[in-house]
Order: sequence, then structure tokens, then C-alpha cells
Amino acid sequence: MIYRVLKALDTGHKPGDVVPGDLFYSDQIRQILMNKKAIAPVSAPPMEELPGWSLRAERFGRVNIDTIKFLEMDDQSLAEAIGSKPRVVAKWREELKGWLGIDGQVKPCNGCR
Amino acid sequence: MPQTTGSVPLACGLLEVSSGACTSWTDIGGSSSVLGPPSQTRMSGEAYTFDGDIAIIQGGKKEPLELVFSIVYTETAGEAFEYARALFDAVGCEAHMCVRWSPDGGDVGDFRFSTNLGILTSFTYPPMDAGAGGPIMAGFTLKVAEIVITTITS
Repeated sequence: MIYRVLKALDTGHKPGDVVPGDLFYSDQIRQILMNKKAIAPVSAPPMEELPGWSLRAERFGRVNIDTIKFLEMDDQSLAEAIGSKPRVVAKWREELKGWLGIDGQVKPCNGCR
Repeated sequence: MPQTTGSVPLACGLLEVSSGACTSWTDIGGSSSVLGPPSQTRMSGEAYTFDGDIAIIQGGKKEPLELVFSIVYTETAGEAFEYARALFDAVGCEAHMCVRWSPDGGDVGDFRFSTNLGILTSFTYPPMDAGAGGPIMAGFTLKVAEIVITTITS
């Protein structure tokens, strides 16, 4: 699961950033932060609902990759999973992020603690 | 709008200090008493013209602010007095200390206010008073450029 940051966090992430769920130490912490409206889960429609994505949805569906998992994985891994090229996947990623209103990359905790 | 239920008590916060890279924090809440209300201003100026009845106002940068601490005098290493005194006495012109505090106690989800590295501009040594009761209080003032607010995640 990935989350949109709504309030600046002590990890250095700013409102609007999208972060992976494993940034937080536990489900309880995630829930507290959601209750305090500091983060919110990114909700995404099924891939096949996105215009022009029905064939891609089929390919990713065969390897159990849904919209959220697509955003969580890197381009290389996604390309290998469906037998495509990373630069092609990268273009799809930008398109998907555009649909979901995600500006930047999913930002992990690189030395943020 | 209905009355808020989100007020926070004055007396139950978490206060921590650090120096150098400001990555390792020391809780001095057990030997600190008051953090005065820090107030930051923004530069501004105005001009008047012959036509028009009011000022033309423009704003500028934020000005530094001073955090004033009242602490309990102790002679224990690591507690507020000895911690701040060592930094104040350090030879040289480099910045001394960062401070961060969480008014609601410092739990996950609470706000945390953090300063950048600031300068200890004053230090109050312990007084003595034969006619008074109570613990000796001391203090220090930290001048900083900014306070950043974040939500605690761990």
C-alpha cells in the first residue's frame, strides 16, 4: 500500500509526497497517522478502468500486479515481470501517475531516520 | 463553528536538545520548566504616495526568533543547566544548539516543532536568596532562524 502525505512528517516527507507503507514501523502507527489525517492511502482504480490500459492491465494481471503494486515496484522489476523494457514501463508509470495525480516518485526513507 | 475539543495542556510536553549535526537528541524535560512563547516576525515596510489615502505595504523575509528557557539549576551532567552551560562556554563562533519540542507529549501523530542550529545568546547563572523558598532556577536564550513543524511518525 502507498500513502499520500498530508502533513509534513518528521521523516522529511512533505505534503503531496507519496510514500510506501513500510516507511512506518507498524500498522498501529499507520492507523494513528491516518486518524490524525497526516497520511491517507492512495486509492487507485483497477488498471483496466484507465483509458488505454486494458491490454496492459491484462499483462500485469497475469502476474498479479495491480495499480498500487505497479507504483510500488521499480521499472526494471516491472519490465522483467511482463517481458517488456524499463523505458517503456517508465512511460506507462508517468501516464499512470498523471491519472492518479501523483507528481513525484514514491519516496522511501533514504536515511530519513 | 462548535467549540474545539483539540486543545493541548501547557504542562505535558516533550522538550529535547541537540548540538552539532542535531541528529542525537537529549530529553531535558526533567530539568526544564518553561519555554516562553516563541514569536517570529516577518520584515515589512511601507511607502506613501501623494495620491491615495493608504500605505503601500510589501513584506520580506522572516526574522530570527529567540527561544527563552527557564530551567532548574542542577549540577548533574546531561541535565539542562550543565548541557546548556557547556555549549555556551564553548570557545568559538559556531552555532550551539538545536531544540525540538512536542506540546502534546511527543507521541506518534503529535506535532513536533524543531529549530535549526541556533546561537545561545544568553545564559542565566544560578541566583541565591536567603529569603526565598523553592528550587534555584536558571535559564538560557537560543536565537534561531526558523522553526519547522512536522508530525511524529515513530
